Amino acid sequence: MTEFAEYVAQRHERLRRTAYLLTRDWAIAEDLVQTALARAWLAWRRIDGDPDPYVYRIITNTHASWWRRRWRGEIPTAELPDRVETRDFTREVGDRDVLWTAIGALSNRQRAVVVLHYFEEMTLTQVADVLGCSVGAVKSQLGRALTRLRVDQGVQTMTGAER
Amino acid sequence: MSHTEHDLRELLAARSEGGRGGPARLDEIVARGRRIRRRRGWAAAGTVAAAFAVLAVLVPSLLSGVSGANGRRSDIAARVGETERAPREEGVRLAGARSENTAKVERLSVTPRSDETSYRVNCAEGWAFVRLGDQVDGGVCGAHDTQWTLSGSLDEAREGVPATVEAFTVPASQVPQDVRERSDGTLSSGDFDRMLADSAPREALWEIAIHDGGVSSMSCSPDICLDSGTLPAAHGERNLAGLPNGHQIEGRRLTEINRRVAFAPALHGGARVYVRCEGEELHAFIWAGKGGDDGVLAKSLPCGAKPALWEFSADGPTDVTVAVIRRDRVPDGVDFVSDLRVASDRANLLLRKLTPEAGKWEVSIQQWDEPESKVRVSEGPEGRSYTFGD
Repeated sequence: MTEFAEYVAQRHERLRRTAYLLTRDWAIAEDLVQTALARAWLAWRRIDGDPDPYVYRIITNTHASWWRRRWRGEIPTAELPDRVETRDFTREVGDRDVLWTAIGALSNRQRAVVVLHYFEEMTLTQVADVLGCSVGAVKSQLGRALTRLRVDQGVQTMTGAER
Repeated sequence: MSHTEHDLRELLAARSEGGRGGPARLDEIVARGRRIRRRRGWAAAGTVAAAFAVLAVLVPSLLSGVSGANGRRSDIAARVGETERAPREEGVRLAGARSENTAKVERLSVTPRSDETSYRVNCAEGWAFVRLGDQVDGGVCGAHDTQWTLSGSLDEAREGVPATVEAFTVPASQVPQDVRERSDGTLSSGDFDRMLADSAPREALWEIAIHDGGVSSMSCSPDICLDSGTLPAAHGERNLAGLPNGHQIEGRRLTEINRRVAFAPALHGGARVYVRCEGEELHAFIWAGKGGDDGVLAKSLPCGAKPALWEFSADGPTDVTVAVIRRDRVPDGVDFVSDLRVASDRANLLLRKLTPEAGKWEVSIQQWDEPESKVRVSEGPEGRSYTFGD
């Protein structure tokens, strides 16, 4: 088995999950991962070291690419029920739905930051590297995203965390 | 209600489990890679391109040997940027068309002014397909979970050579899996013809613009991209609907009809309310204010493939209330126009007789970015039209 084949076998499922969190559509996610891996195959000999940053960059770039570009991110969304109860979210399917819906209402960029940081457990520096922007911009996007999601912010504590 | 970062991690992990699809199909990935390489035109340019291809492989390797991993990463990043190079600026419009039907091809004749000719298709919902010669592009277009557009470069366009670009849209449900899988730039002219022949026409707004230079992500007629900005093109071309440019103040996507939904946007100056009911046969009531017993019914309009629209001027904070019902529930002969307070009572009475039920619709409240003094609205036999001052 070639090195590329090994990489695909090991990482495909994880990449597919990440792509799904970005696109929220399994068919598009599969398409996105296949496209990213196909482009990685083309460039494989040029990739030195861990291919992940390169592949994640293709995924996020392609997702927001110029030929399937999302508008400014302010898609009309369903009215979010603002429940006053304080039940533990993790035990309540309804509350999970609220948070999931709210994630869907984030801008493309904000959702990418959230997914890479909280799902892929990347540091903010690594997120910035994948997205091709400054750490400050990532912090700013993440702060706004967490505010919209009503997630208590501990961003600073994550900045130095390692993957 | 607030959540913790732990909640967020758990949710992302749980929601990304499962889904369709199986193990990675390496053969398909490699085949797709080969198609992308062909599409990039390496082979078409013959030995010269082949030489560049060899260099493209060799040079980074040589560089990496000198500058180490960091040097290589920068090189790769630049190449990704090249591959994904987006014409970010809104170029000069060469041609444009709007349509109210899916599965009906629009043909645009253009004479490119340079070798960079771009297109953009905006849709309310669906998939779009564009053809120029052997180039066939297809992809998601319109509001799904997110708002997509289909745009790209017309690779076969040549400066000074007249060309005909064809485009059409179809509902997303009519796109077969094999076409979805090849929408990465490997669709054929046969796919284009087959999709056109196999799709059933229905009403749906969409538009296509062809530009010399690039296309931006911020230019879309506001009756199609309800959440879009509407920047004019580089030379001041307006959005294809000819509507005043604006941006969204508030918007919602709703899944229940037969109930009133209130909005309290902080508006000032020219504004408009769009109610879109894509794929549904509905009727919209739009109130100025809260729409209660003392309400004033501003508009009573059908809402379906075309959105219902109310334009108004706001002197200060203005409440807007909207309700939609099925079109066949609107009684014949009832006047919802002459006396707006009486019309409001009639609409409220109608709503009280109905119970909420499932139905998809969207509301977008948009603020004009242009001074009202420069926009003149007139009603004619062809509908509403606008003229713009300097």
